[in-house]
Formats: sequence, C-alpha cells, structure tokens
Amino acid sequence: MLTGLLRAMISGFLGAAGFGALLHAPRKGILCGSAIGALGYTAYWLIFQLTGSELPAMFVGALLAAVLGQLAARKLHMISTVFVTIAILPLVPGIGLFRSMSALGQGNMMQGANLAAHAMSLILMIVMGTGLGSALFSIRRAPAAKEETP
Amino acid sequence: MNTAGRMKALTLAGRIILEYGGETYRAEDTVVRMAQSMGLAEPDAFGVPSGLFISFTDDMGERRTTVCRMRGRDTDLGRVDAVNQLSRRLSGGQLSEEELLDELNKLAVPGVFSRWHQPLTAALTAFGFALMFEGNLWEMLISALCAALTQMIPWLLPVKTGNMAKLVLGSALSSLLPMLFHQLTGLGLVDAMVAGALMPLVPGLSMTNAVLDVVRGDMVSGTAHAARALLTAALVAGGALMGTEIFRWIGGLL
Repeated sequence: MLTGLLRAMISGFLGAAGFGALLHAPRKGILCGSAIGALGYTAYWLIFQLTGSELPAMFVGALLAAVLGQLAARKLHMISTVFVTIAILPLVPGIGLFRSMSALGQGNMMQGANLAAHAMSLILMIVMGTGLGSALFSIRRAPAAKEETP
Repeated sequence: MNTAGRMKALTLAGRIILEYGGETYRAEDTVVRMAQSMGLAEPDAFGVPSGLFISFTDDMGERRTTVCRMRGRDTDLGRVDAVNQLSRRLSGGQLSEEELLDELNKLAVPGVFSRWHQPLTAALTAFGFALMFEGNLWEMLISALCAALTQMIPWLLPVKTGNMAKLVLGSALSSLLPMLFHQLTGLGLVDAMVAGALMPLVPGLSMTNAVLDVVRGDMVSGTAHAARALLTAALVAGGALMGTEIFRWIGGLL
C-alpha cells in the first residue's frame, strides 16, 4: 500500500511537471500545478484502492485538482489554466484508452468497446469534477453596467 | 496614446491569449478590463478560438471596431500568464499605456526555445506516466525515448504539416516501438510503455479550455475546444491503431 501510494505521488508529480514544461508554463506554475496533480491523482488512487469504485474516485480526484488549482491561481495571482491543466493530466485514463485501441486492433470488438466506454466514463468524471471545481470559483464581481451604444 | 495605439494594444493582448492557448473568455475579459483601465467608453469584446472582435467608443463619440483573425496556434502558457500580469499592472496604475504596448510587442515575437525543449519535456512526461502505469526502469526509458522521438517527427518532415502528422505518426511510432522492443528482448510491459509514451499527446489543454469556457457560459468556444480535443484524441487513437496493425504485419516476420 505504502509503495503504491509513493508511486502514485511521485509518478503524478513527474508526469504533470513534464507536461507543464511541454506547455511552456511558468516555473512557479509547474511546481505548484504538479504538486496539485500529484495530490489529485493520489486521492483518486487511494479512494479507488479503499472502495473499489473507480468513477467516484475519479470525480473526487478531478474536483480536488480543480479546486486546489483555482485556489493556487488566486493565491499566486496567476491564471487558473496553468494549474488546472497540469493538475488534471495525471487523471487522464491513458492506459485504458490504449487497451481499448489495442483490443479493437486485434479484432476484439466487444472488449474494445467495453474498455473505450469505461475510459470515456472516466473522462466524463474528470470533466464533471473540473467543471464543478471551476464553477465554484466563477462567481465574480459583476462587471460595470454598460451604457447604451449609440 | 492615440486611439489607434490603444486598439493595437487591445488586439495584441487578445491575440496573444488566443494564439498561445488561453481560453476565449479570458481573452474577452482581459481586453475589456484593459480597455476600462485605459478609460475607453463602452468597451466590448467577442471572441471565438479563431477570431476576436473588439469595439469601443473613442473620445469623438465614434464607435471603433476591429476584427482579428487568429491563424497560427501554438502553446505557451507563460505568455498567456504574462498578458494577464500586464492587465493587472495596468489596472493597478503600475504601467503606462506606452509601456503596455512595448511589453505586448515583445511578447508577440515568437519565442526562441531550445530545439530540444519539446523532446526533453515530453520524455520527462512519459517517464513519469510509465512509472504510474506500473512500469519499471525499462518501461520508463522506452516510453521516454518514444515520446522524445514523437516530438522530433516534424524535424524530419520536408514540409510544415502542423500538428496532425506529428499526432498520427508519433502515436503510431509510440505503439510500434515498444511492441517491437518487447518482441525482440522479452523485456518490459507493453501497455505501460505505450500508454506512457502517448500521454504527452493527450489534448489536456483543449479539454481544460473547453470545460472552463463552458463553465463561463461560452458554449460556442467551449464546443470548439471540445471538438479540437476529440479530434486530437481520435488522431492519437488512430495512430496507435495503425502502429498495432503494422506490428501485426511485421511481427510475424521476426
């Protein structure tokens, strides 16, 4: 369990940091975003290990990554895109998508479709978690009332 | 600064945000905030991922509008963040309009990054993800190598093909090489090597932009970003399928 936890944290951090650098994110954003990504992935991994339910685990991981990303953006006066994009990448079910493609490539249509549907459900959970986490922070000051355009 | 200069500054700010990977709502919001900080009346901005319209009323009471078409698209979140910082400094009174235009002109010049930046960072990404997918040293090294080679594909192509060729050829290479390596040496988990190598190609930024634009109520841009993410994912998946098929052809010969 401890080895798995350490592997989740280190791999989440490394993967997210590399992706942040690939997007030319600012250094401060890469460090913080990767730490948030590692936390989000570790939360997903831990919940999945403890409950065996992958979809709720993915939702919680994405929600945590989005909320922490938005908080970091406010604290560091940077754009939230940097943190949220870097932080949610470790959650993307890359191996599930590859397995579905691999099964389809070998002619196992049913298995491929099942794996693809599962991977898509996980992506949907990421979208929902990220959307909810970001929506919580989208309440902003109302813009100044516009005058009539002549 | 005169009206033309102000319009140029606003256009540059919006252009940099949209062309370097920012969300559409952010480009609109930043342009309007900058215009308000300049004291322009009735500022308005409407953006889509491929264009930006900016309007305001000048000192003579005339409505000024400009249309800006976004052609190129690259990813540099550092620049998007830099424009955001400039907007903050302008509204805080720490930056004059002339200084703003100077800074934006500098940011608009295409960046000179090391030729090895993309391959090295993609390798680091793949290295981390191979570890995540239960891989060990071999998986991490092969994943990193495939991801780096994928980023080098545009160097080998005789014409500039954009991202499409890189995505298809790169994902094909990223699935073919680990399978061949495993076939020849018996080492490594194929799933971990391939999935790790494909992760740098995941359209993470388009996905985030789609979600953030939809959350802000911009359905047009959100849908456009989602379509881009889906298309990218489809190209990567198609490339991986192609690699698997090629392996089946040549795997039997080994």
